Formats: sequence, C-alpha cells, structure tokens
Amino acid sequence: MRTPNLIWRLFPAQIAILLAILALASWYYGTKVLQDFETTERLEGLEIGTLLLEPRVTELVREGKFRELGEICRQSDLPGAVRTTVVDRDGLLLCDSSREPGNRENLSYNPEIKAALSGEVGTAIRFNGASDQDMLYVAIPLIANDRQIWGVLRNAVPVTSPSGALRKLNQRVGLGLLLAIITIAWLTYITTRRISRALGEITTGALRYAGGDFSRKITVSGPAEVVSLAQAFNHMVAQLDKRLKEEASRRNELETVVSSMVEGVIAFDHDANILYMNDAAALQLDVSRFEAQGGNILEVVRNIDLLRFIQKTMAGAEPSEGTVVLNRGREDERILQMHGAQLADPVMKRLGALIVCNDVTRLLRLENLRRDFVANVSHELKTPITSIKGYVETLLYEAGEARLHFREFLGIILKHANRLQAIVEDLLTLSRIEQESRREEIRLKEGSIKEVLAEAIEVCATKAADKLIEISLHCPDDLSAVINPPLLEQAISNLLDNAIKYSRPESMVSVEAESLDSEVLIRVSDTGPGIAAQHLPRLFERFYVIDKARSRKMGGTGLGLTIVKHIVQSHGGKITANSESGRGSIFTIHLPRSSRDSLTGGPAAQAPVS
Amino acid sequence: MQKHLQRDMEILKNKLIVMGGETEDRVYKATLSLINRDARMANDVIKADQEIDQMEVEIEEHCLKILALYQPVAKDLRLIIAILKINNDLERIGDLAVNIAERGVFLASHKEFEIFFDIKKMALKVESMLTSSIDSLVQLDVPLAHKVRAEDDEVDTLNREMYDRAKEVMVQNPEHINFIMHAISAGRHLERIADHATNIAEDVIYLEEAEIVRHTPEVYED
Repeated sequence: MRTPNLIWRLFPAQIAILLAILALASWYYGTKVLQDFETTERLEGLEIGTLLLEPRVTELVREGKFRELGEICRQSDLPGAVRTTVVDRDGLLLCDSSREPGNRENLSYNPEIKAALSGEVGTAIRFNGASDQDMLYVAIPLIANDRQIWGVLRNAVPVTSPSGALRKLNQRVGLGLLLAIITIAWLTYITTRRISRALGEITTGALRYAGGDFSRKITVSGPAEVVSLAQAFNHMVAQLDKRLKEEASRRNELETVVSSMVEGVIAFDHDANILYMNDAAALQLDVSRFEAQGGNILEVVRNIDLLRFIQKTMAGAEPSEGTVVLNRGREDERILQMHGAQLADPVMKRLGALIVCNDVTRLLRLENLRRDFVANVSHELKTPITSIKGYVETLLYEAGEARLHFREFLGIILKHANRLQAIVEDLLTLSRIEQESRREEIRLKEGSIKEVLAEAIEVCATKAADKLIEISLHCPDDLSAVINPPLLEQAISNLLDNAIKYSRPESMVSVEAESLDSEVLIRVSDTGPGIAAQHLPRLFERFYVIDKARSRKMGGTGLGLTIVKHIVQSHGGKITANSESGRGSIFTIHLPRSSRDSLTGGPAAQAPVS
Repeated sequence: MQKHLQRDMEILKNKLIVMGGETEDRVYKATLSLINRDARMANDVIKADQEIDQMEVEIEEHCLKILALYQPVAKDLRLIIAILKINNDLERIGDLAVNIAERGVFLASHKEFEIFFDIKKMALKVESMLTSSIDSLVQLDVPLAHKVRAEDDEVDTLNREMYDRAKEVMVQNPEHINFIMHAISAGRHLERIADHATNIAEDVIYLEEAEIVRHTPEVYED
C-alpha cells in the first residue's frame, strides 16, 4: 500500500496534537477546575461545621471554661482530621487542637484570621510547615451578644488527594476522553486514507502513462482538489499524446518520402559514421541497411573514391559533385554519381555531410555504346566514301593512264556506292525496327509460317541458283503463330542470305520449322565454314564481323544478324546460333505461339542491345 | 579512460583503412598504366608516393602515442601491434606500386611491343588479394585471411610461368631484351605485393587467434 507515507505523517501528528490538547484540557480541568470546585465545597462544608461549633465555643469562652474549650478543640471531630483553633480579639491563641496554647502566639497575621477579626468569614489555602501539607482554613468571627467580636474560631483541613467522588468523576471523564480520542482517530484515519488513496490512484495512472499506455484515463473519487488534479492530469496527457502522434506521423511521412526515392540518400556525422541510409542507397552500395546503421562508412564500403568524395564534401563549404566507381574492373562494376553537401545545424556547428547518389552505370554504358556505335558507323561509312572519292578524283584529274582502267574504276566506285547504300538501308531498317518496337507499333497477327518461309526462299532464289545451292524447306502446312509476316520474311531472308554467302557452291541449305508446346522453332542450317566458339557471343552485335576482308568481299554490312535479332525480339522470341569451326552453322529462331507466351518479356521490355 | 582508448583506437583504425584504400588505388593505377602504356597515369602514381609515406609516419606515431598513454593489454595490444606491422606492409606496397609505375613509364615509350605474359590476370589476382587482406582486417574475418594466404601460391605460379615465358621470348627476340627485363621486373613487383598482402592476412590471423602462422604452409580448405 503506497499510502503509509501520507497516513503515517498526517495520522500520528493529528492524533498526537489531539491527545496533547485533550490531555492538556483534561489536566487543567482535573487539577484546576475540579479541584477548585472541591475546595470550594470543602470550604463551605468547613464553614458550616465551624458555624455549628460556634455556639458551644462562645458559651465556653463566656463561662471562662478554657480547659473545656481546649478539650473541644482537641476533640473536635470534624471529618478529615480537622484542626480547630480559637483566638481572641487580638489574635492571641486561646486553644488549638494540635498543640497547647500558652505561648502567647499571635495568629493575627494570618489572612483568614485578619478577615474574621474584621467581621467577615475568612478563607485561605496555605502550606503548613508543621504538618507539611497544604491546609484549607476557614475562620469565622465570634460575635458576642453585644455584637462585639471577641474572637475567631478557625478550622483547618489538609488539602488531600481528591475524594473518592472526585476520583470517580475523573475516571468517567478519562473514559469519555478515551472514547473521544478513538472516534476522532478513526475519523481522521478514514479521511486521510481517502485522500492518500486518491493520490495513489493518480500516481498509478501517471506511471501507466509514463509506460506508454494512454488507453485509460485516471478516475478518482475523493476531495474536490484531488479530482481536479486527476482531470488536469488526464488533459495534459491527452495533449501530449496528440503532439507525439503528430510528430510521429510527420516523421513517418519524411521517412516514407526518403525511402521511396530512387536516389540514394546517406547522412554522415563528422567522423564519417553513418547516421542514416535509405533503401536505395543500401542497394546501390550493396550493403545491408542493418549493418550499415551507426557504422563507419570506411568499414562498411571500402572504396577509395567514396572516401575521397566524402572528405571533399566535408572540407568544402560548397556542395560537391563526384563520381564513385564500385567493384572496379569486375563484372558487377557500378558507377554512382554523387552530390554532397555539408550538414549544419542551426547553430552553424558542422554536423556532418549529406550525400545523394544516383546509379548511372546503365547510362554510362549506353553512352559508351553510343560512342562506339558512332565511331563504328563513321568508320564504316568513311571507308567507302574515301574510296569513291579517290577513284572519282583519279578519273577526273588523270586522263590518259586512267582511261585504260575506266571500266574497272567505275566498277569499284559502283561497288562502294552499293555498299554505302546497303549500310544506310540496314541502319534505317534497324532504327525503324527499334523505334517501332519501342512504340509498340509492330503489329502481330496469326499467320502461316510456311508461307513466310516460302516467300523468303523465293527472294533468295536467284542468289542460291547462282551458286547452285539448293534450299530445302520442311514445314508443316498448318503451322502458324502470331507474327508480322513482312518482318519475319526479312529476318529469314537475311539468314538465308548469310547461309548462301558463306556456303560452298553446290551445297545444301535447309530451312525447317516445327512446333513445340508453347513455341515455334525455325531453323536455318548450312554446311559452310562454321563459326568459332569465341565469336558466338558477339555474333549479333552491330558491325561485328568475324573476318573483315571476307565480309566486305561478300558485300556484307555487319548489320544483317543484328536486324534479325531485333525482328525476332519484337516478336517476343529469341534467336540462337549453333556452330563449330568447319562444321556449318544452325540458326534457330524461337517464336512464342501467342503473344501471351513471350519468351523475352515482350518487345517493349527490351534493353537496348549492341 | 577506457572510452578515450576506444576512441583513439577507432581513429587509428580509420586512418589505416584510409591508407589501405589509397594503397589499393595506387596499385590499380600503376598496373593500369602499365597495361595501357599510359605514361601520364604512371607519373601521377610516382608523384603521389609521398602521401603514402606521410600516412605511414602518422599512423606509427599514433600507435606509439596509444602505447605510451594507455599501455593496452591483450586484444588491444595485439591490435596495435598488428596495425604497426600492417602499416609497414602497406607502405612497402606503395613503394612497389611506384616501381611498377616506373616500369610503366618505360613501357609506355615502347608501345610497339606487346607484353608477353598475361599481366592483366596477375594484376587482377594481386589486387583482389590486397583488397581481401584489408577487408579481412576491417571485418576481422579469419577465413578470408586464410583464403588470401592460399591465393599467394597462385601468384607464385603465375610468376614462375612468366619467367619461363620470358626465357623463351628472350631467345626468340634478343633485340628486345631491355623491354623484356622491364616487363619481368614489373611482374616481380606484383609478386612482392602479393607477398605483402599475405603478410597482412597473417597479421590479421595473429590478431584474432593470437597465433603466429607466418612461415607455416597454408592448409586451409574452404
């Protein structure tokens, strides 16, 4: 019970005060009031007794019977061991019950005697040395017939402990006192406990709030002040709760915003310890957000570029920009562009740094590809142009000698011009296919495979015939798929073109088509020189040629297979090349039966390829 | 007192990590300049060596200060000792990178000749060993340290192959002996870097397991 403190402070104190007051009062009452009362009563009793004795004494004195008087004095039997004294009008002791007169004692100095001598009843309370106690004195004047005071009769009793009656009275009073005390004590206890219990409730409630449980309000019963206190408490807590919730929601908003960013955000303190890192940053730097929090950036990501960038950021007052390469030279190389600024709190004390990073790996790779492509194209275009120019100039400026080679030179010029044309056409085709597939303009519909293959073979028939090459076709009549016939035809004819180009005369080129569960396979095979393993991965790259000299001689542009690949991909399919040096090649096109079964994720999902 | 010691140790560790990073960078640039025959990059590496030397001195002084001030014992003491030794190894690696860069300068002026062995493969291996050895210190990753020790054998093999090939090429092209000698030198420097990386790994093992494994063969199986 948490109440002891309050109760044991209030309660004993109150009771003690109560006891003290009551004890004081009763002591005063007992000793003073009651005593005085009893004294007065006694005095009166004494007085009456004395008055009763008077006639006898007067008679004795008138008759001069002093010895009898003495006897009376001695024998006076008033209760309480009374001492009787008689004095004459001058105060001389005539007789006394406690001793013999005759010493000519004068008692007139005693106040009660004095008062009696002057005609009044005198009373006094005095300590008597002889009997060693307080005595009560009553003295009455003895009046003669002629109204003359001839002496004083005095009685005295000791002031002893209270009589039995008084004692009983005192006992009763004491009992009443005790009852009163118990009642008051009990009432005080009840009240005090009520207050302290109410306060205890408030304390419990406050502790509950402190523990985070805002669900229940504090309710108490008790004095008005305590109830108001509880209500004020509840109100205060409600306000706090609201404010905390607002703060939390604001923080959550911020956290959500920063977490959803694609850019990585990292905050450091001035020792390069990580204060905060969002998910994007953890992904880009390839660390676990858990491990990173609170750790030092040097240990978490050991990259010298990053370190130098952080140093630069923290050293400079201006925001800084830089590039960081992770896993340099390896396959998972990643390039991050970073913007950094110093973090300063309102007091302009430097807190650390804030870095925003972007993954530009893909961007840079694209740029590199583009650069290579442009370089390639420029080179490919420049060569024929240079040749053409050269021969044209020769023809123009050098007559005579040149005339002999007229036809030859013109032939060469034509050949180069044709080559240029072919390259430009192929580039345009490629560009168109890429653009169309990007904008999803390539329309696919259900069509017969056999028809397309037959058309393609038709287109290449002449070239095949020139080399006496036979093209065979094996395809089920009913085989169909979702295709774009003209484009597919072009792809097949490109493949056939290659096959024919590189096959020996009088050899076989075969075109086969078959259907599997979810896809259609189209195979173009030849028995030409084949392709070495190291070239296979790069076969479909733009301008990639195995043997430059031979390719040019055959009139190749280096773009044929690239075009095929793009067409196949825009059908949602894929193309593979199987070949070994000296054993011919087989190009296999996989097409999905319906556009739903896309094998590569569909045309729109292509990443730009080289 | 303990708090100050911890803080100083943190600072020291960070300094060493920075130096490690800079050293890795030097090695990378030096070998790149060699392979690409880039004289400018090679010269950059040569000029930047004094930074590494300065860092080494700084770290050593910091270690001595900690030893004098705190008289650390047990794990902390082993860490200080390990850092002192690794500091030394890193500075040596920095010097070797400069040596490689100097070869790079020479080879850059003789672009017509090809390097007769697969230096790229060797360089990648050595760089990976160096990175792993420093990683093993930062993460206190003993298995990784053992792995580095095991990889040293591979580098030694590549080195031997280089020598064998060099002998062949020298016989075939005696007029290019100067070039070949420089190339051999570069290969040798790489091999030395691998040795220092191995030392670093061994220091890490000592730190964690209080066992000196130097001069014992590596029989750790992954």
